[in-house]
Amino acid sequence: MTEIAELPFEEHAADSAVLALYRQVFAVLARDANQMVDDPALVRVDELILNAFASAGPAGLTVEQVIAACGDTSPVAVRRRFEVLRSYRAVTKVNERPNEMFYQAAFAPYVMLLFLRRLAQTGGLGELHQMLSIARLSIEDADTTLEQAQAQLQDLANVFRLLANPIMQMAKSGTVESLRSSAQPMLGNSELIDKATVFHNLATEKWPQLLPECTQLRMALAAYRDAVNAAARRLIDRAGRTRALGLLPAEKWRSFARDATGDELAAALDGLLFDAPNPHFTVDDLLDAVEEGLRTDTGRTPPPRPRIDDEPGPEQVGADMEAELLATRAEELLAGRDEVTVAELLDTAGDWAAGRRVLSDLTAIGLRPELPYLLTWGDGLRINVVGDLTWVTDGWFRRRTPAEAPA
Amino acid sequence: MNEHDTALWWAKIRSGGPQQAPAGSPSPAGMRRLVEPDAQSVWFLPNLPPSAAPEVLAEYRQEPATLQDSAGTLRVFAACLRCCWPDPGTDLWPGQPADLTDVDQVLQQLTPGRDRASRRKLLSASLRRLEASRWVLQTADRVRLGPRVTGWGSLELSTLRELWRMIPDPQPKSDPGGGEVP
Amino acid sequence: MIRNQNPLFDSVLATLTDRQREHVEAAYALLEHSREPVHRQELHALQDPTSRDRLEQLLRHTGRVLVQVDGLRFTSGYDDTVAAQLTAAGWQPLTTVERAVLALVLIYSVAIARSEERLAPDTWTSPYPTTEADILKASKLPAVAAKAAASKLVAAGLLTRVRDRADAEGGYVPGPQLLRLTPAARARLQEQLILAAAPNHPLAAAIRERRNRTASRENIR
Repeated sequence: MTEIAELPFEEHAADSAVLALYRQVFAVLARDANQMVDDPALVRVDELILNAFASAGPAGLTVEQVIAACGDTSPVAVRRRFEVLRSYRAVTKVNERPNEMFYQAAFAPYVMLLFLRRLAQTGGLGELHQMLSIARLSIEDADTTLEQAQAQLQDLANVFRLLANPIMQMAKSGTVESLRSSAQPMLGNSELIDKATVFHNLATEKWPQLLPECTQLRMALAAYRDAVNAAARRLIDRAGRTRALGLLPAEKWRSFARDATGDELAAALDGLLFDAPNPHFTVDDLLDAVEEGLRTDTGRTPPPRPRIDDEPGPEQVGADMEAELLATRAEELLAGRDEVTVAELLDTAGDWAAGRRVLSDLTAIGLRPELPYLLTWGDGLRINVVGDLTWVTDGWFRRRTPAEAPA
Repeated sequence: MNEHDTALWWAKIRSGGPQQAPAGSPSPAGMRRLVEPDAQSVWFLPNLPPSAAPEVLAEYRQEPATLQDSAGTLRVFAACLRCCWPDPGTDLWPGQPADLTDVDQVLQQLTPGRDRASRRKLLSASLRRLEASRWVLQTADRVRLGPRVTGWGSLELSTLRELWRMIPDPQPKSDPGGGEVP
Repeated sequence: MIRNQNPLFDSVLATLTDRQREHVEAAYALLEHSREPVHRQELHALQDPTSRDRLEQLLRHTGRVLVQVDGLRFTSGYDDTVAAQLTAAGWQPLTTVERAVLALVLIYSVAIARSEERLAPDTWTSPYPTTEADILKASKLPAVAAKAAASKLVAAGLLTRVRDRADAEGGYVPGPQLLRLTPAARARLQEQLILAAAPNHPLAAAIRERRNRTASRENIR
């Protein structure tokens, strides 16, 4: 046996190992033998089956156990997927003998499922980031051979070409809508280019003999950058007056709002002019405000309620504010009269809850000697069994005359 | 001054409020020119015909920009008018500066429900608002009428004189806190 | 005090009939002084080409232009060349903090709402409030100054104070003043925000490139 004679066999063995793994991995994507899966539910069944095997332990599972482990999923669907997985050898008998009932699963198809799910979520960009990180590490690894480096450079050049082509196509002739819908992940990739450029630069330094491959990668990167810029240009040209804002991810805006200085934020309004405050009021408005204020002095008409823009100070919110509110309430209750009976107020209040509020307001007003109102109670009792209020004491609420002012 | 420079002036005043310029500055077309009492500077502000002024909006049931806390702010403005316009037989502008303590005393008559602290708060917030649109001008502890008061016509001035007479004098009182009852 | 003679108005409106002049002056007042944009049916000057032309002239003489807000409503805004010239010369009446607070509200209420696909119309208005905490606590702005700035911006109609029923804290949305921005000013605002927030993004590069293109075209002209 010569070494030369060994090579074809080893190559053949390696190829068949790759092929076997390839078949296993793509089992999850096969609808039937030789057909692609086009229903995500089928992938979910595969996942359930593989999960069942993962929990089963080394003894493996029978088909019936797999079906039971898949819970609510229809046994027909499970059995069908099981057969597909078996035909691709993703699931095999624990022992190769005719009456073997127990099966075991290979791990590669499950890894493929995880990979596919991530790919579906990130469009493959996350994987590409990882590929670049691994490539970067391998440059620093003394064991990396020239051939491995060459292969990595070619792989990456291909990836970037494949990325650039559809973007450029969309930028040139796709609809703006299609461009816009894929804009956020597509345009937010300057890091990817930076990472690839770092890898490229390190590779040129370490392996000058790989100059052609490095050039290929550089050109692929340039093509990708051109495609992204062309897409950005088209988007900006067609974005209207505010729509381009949506092309940046919300998180980008949030971090800018949190981290920017006043100057950086203000710069966004450079070159824009706005109107100075120019409130309008008439002489009559002025007259009304003054007359109302003067009247308040004698008649105690309600003072204006503070508005939200009034910037009330803490002391305003305190005792004085409450007095103002109570005075307002008192005037509401008197409704222009000088005196009113408590019974009447309770009758018009309606239900029990409103009546109780009237009573508590009256008491609060009565306890404020600085307010020009008096609350007096008699000792009569009015019974009303049909109304909501079953008893009403005799009481009067009235305006105080100047002579009654507290000392 | 050419048309373009005039347009620049109008935009400047629209965005920054009535503007002060050195006494010798040429007037932009359509602007009212008000000379400061010291004759060192002039104010420019749009001299709109009444038929193009904000008063027109009411006829069309449109809302102009309004003052915040308008009742309170207008009472503060009325107090300023009372103190800065010593003789209502004369023109409003330029009037004369008044001490904030005097203005506060008049304000006390117009806002009897408020205690001293809340009135002070109203006074400073309102003066800030009024100054932003140049209804008044403020220095450290004095206030005077701003150039915008010159926009009123003779009919309005007679109402203002009536208003002036309605408001009590800023006379010193024994109880500076006012409105507060122990 | 002479009030009724305005040479600028007189020269532009001289040849109009009394009725036309009344319409143009009223339209000028409505466009310039209304808090909100005005429905076209209130603007009689827009029905007649001569009156409309004089209205636009009058606005231009005072540094303004007619701005169409939507199919039915109009307002007025700064002439783009006038605003560009004044700001290039350093004229900016709003303070840094005031502009920063306004920018924050535009980011939270408009930009983020748009990134999250909650806003449809292409305008600078939004029903989504920016909370007081977003402005006073979550930003780098000094809280006291930012609060005063917000209240000034409310007075100028650049912000509107809103109070959420559930949320006692309340917040701000962009005010009616933003509807006065001309199409060019609106586009500029969008560009400036993107340039400020993401200077290294391909969109920012595209914006800079477009501005250079325009600038060199203008240099040739």
